Amino acid sequence: MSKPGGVPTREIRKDAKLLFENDEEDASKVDFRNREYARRAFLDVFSDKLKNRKIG
Amino acid sequence: MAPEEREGVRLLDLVFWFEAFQANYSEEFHQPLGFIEDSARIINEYYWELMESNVRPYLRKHLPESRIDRHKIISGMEMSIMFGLPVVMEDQDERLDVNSRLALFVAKQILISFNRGRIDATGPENFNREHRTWLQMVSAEGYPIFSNAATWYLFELLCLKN
Repeated sequence: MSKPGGVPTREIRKDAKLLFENDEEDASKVDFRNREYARRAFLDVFSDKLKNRKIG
Repeated sequence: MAPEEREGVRLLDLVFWFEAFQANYSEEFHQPLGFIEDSARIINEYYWELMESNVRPYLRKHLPESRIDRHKIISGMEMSIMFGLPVVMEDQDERLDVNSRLALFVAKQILISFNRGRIDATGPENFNREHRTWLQMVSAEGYPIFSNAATWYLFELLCLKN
């Protein structure tokens, strides 16, 4: 059985143990300071207010 | 990376996130947004306290240098923001609302940054509203970091592109 998008259910269950395990990827190697990502996230979390404002 | 170095890097991340949120808010709503003094440092302290006392001891490998997975980073960051409420507003309901948006903003940036183009973190239409409502209520109730991390784990699975 697969979820929409094609990830097998069994794989999800297998991965679920990660909740109490450690991450394979080192967060210190990830760049969290990206202006484009910030802009995208901002528009997303205010989408309801921005939509209402445009209609008004 | 040594723990104190890790904390310093995360502090700079928080400074960037808060400034980006503030700048985008001013641009879109044409009004300034106030933060408590030393907001990034305060939230960073809450975050590491939560991670060291409520997360790391429960991991299979709980050494100081062991990695905490991204879903718990997101969860802990959301909890820390809702505990510290760094954005200041006169009206308390509005303050909770904007801070829950800030928490979600930071959460999604962490998720997008970790997945670098492999994710559309917009998610289901109602998720933002429902999750923000939950964040506003949970701030007074305690810190279910692991169950919130599970929410983000599933959200990530749902939003990953093929």
